[in-house]
Amino acid sequence: MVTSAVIAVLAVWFLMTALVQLPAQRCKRIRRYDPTGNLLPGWNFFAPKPIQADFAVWYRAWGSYDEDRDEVLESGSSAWRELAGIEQRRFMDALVNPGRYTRKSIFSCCSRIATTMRTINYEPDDLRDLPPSEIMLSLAYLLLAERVSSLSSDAVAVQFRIDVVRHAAGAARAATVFRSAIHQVSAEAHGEG
Amino acid sequence: MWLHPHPDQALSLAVQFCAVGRLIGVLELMLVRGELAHSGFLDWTMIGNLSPHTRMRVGSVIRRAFRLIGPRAFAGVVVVNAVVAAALLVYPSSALLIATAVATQLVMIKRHHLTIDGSDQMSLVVLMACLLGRIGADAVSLRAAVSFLAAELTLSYFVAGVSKATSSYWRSGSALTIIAQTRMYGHPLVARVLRTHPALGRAAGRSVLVWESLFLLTLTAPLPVALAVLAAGVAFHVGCAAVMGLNRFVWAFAASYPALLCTNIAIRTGIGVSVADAITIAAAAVGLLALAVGGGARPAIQPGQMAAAARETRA
Repeated sequence: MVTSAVIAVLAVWFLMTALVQLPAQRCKRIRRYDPTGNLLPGWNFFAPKPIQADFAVWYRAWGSYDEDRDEVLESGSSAWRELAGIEQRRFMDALVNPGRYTRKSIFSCCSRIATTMRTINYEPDDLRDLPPSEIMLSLAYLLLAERVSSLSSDAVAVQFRIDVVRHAAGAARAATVFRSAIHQVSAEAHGEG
Repeated sequence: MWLHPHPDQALSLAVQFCAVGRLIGVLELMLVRGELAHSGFLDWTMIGNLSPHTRMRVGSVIRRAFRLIGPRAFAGVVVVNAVVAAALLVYPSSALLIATAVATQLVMIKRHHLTIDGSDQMSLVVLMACLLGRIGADAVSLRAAVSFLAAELTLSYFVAGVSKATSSYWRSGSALTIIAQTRMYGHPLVARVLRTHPALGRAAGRSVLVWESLFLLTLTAPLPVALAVLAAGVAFHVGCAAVMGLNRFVWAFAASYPALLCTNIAIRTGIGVSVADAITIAAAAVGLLALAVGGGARPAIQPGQMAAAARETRA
């Protein structure tokens, strides 16, 4: 009886895996029966459309507020600095690749923000506009904001932006697609309280 | 044993391969343990801010349970993960160890939901299939688990190949050059070589396409042919590890190679060598014809079309 159950489970599991690969939405809904969420993976790696661009996260910080306005001025910020994590990899990563956690996290956060922008049709004409709450309250946004805040612990405010970097003939062209709000750096980031 | 694995040996090798991959994963996590701390990308107080409501009740239970797992408890999970993986290298047929490995793999996947990739999923699939085979504990169950691994491996490569075969980027041979130029999955030296030798990129890309699409022939092909295809698979995954940083894919996918050899032997013995050879030749001919005829090479996207592509591929 155990043997029959094992055979039945494996057979049904394989059948479900095969069906989930089909493009029809009805077939994708089979995933709702996977309690782990990871036993019916899709196997179309880097296809049909391979990854064509990179994300680059840049951030800047303000050391002080404008005394008259009690806010930070655009002109008073530091230079933009790239958030470390998606540097060029080493060949040693072929064996052990610890940097993948940071690299993939940054990429996933940027990808999720970009997806949300597309979902809510957010294409800002002026990147200085405050992003919508759907983005600002998302895990991806909060993670990046928290990260750049922790890197600017001696600042009073930080801001980050996401660039899409496309490559052609050995040259990289970056375009800013998203800019965060300006966030006050918390006391925790200052190492206080 | 390696060329003619018994089902029991094939499952044991699958578990051992996965165990190596998991030990590498634990080492990597230890090397970036700073990310587990406050403001790190693996800080659970941040990445744990997920809704507890999921499609399945089990998912909700898991997420709610995670909220009770503090840093110390998670450190314990990592230790268990490493100890179990090491033990599986010595006792790969232990159902209890495999079950624990499945559980810890699931914990890690759920926790590090931003960073998981196909190797994590394949490892989970392989371990779960091996667990089912060991629970059955008889020859039929072992054979069923081995057959499942072979079928899953074949399906994964076939789907990847067909997906590439329908892509203008892959059919035109520009896909590898495009990927190699990115920082995320590329390498500057490889990108430079492919730019200066575009024929090399086209040949490599089309080779991957053909190899993946026709991988299922290994189920019936003569042993030397099957071994050659598997050797190409190892080379492919090692290449992906070196260029793209996908190091754990080597272990996750090669884990099922012994099962595939085992299934190949069983099929060729069951239906007869001449029938198997005939099927292999016919399938290869049909497959190659389909690849040659279907779609035709369309030009890859040109830089002038970048703007449209940017709107289309913001994700």
